[in-house]
Amino acid sequence: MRSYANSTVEVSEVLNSGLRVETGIAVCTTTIFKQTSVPIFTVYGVIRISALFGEATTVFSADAAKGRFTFTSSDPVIAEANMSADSAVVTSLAKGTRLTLQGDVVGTAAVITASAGISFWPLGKMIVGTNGGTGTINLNNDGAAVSVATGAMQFVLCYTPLSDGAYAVNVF
Amino acid sequence: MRNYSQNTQDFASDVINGIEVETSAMANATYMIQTQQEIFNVYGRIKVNILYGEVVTDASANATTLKFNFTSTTPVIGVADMTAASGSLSAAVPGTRVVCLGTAVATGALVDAGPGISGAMLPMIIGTVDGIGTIGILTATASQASGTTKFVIDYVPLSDGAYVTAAH
Repeated sequence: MRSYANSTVEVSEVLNSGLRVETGIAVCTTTIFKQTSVPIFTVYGVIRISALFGEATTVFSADAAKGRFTFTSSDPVIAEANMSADSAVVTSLAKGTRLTLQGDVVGTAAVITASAGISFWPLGKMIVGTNGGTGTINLNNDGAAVSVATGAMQFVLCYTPLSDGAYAVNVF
Repeated sequence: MRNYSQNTQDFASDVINGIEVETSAMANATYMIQTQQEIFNVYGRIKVNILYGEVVTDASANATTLKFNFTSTTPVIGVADMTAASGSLSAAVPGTRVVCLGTAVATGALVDAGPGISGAMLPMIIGTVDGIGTIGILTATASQASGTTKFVIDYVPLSDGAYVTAAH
């Protein structure tokens, strides 16, 4: 087995999967899955998304809410638009279960994997943002009139820049 | 033709394909007997680019099928299929691979039609942030009586500090 310094392993990861940005852990009691749109990543310029998912870090309560990923731009002004359609319900998500952007066709439903700890790598690489613009990738769950009482999720974005100086940062 | 050191070639492979970890050549009569066997330890969350078993010495003439699965001890996640069962490995010759195709979760693992040629594989995400688990195999239909198989994974971390070790 080859042995690399951690910095070398990170280079391998970045070249293979793109730059990885993670949010902190958002709790359902106050922040996410409250029937509103919540910004999770700020996007400067144009980026190409290799992977975008949320991973449950605490088991969800038994509430039949749904989630989808959206994009909103403040400069230029672009109203919130769907990156994916609503997922299936997030009822009682187990720790380690992921809500994944499939990423091929705009508006394809986000996918909740059947088993915690196992999910597919997104099939496509979606492009979001505008040249020189500023926007946000959001988690929206106004598609079902249900909020999630308890639980927590961390979001992960892997991307590469597609315009000069483009980058993404976590909102929280 | 350019001339690179072996280290540079290894690094090129690891960057493009992911970091490679291999098991030893595992005895089929011990590890393909229709019981759960763990082949790789997974620490954290990883992106699996390639996962397969390759016949090293001839498999016995038993219609063994194989699937890959994942189990986590932290957090506790019961064994769950990464693939469905493959076709038969009966009398598979050296160089024949049984491959995790990696499209939708639980797509059937694919046994090569002939040794040395495998189709494309797509990545999967395995493990959880800060978790500890194992990738395993479960054979069915018939146990193997002889032969050896080496398992190979190529991966990149998908959470800080994530890595994989061979269980054998």
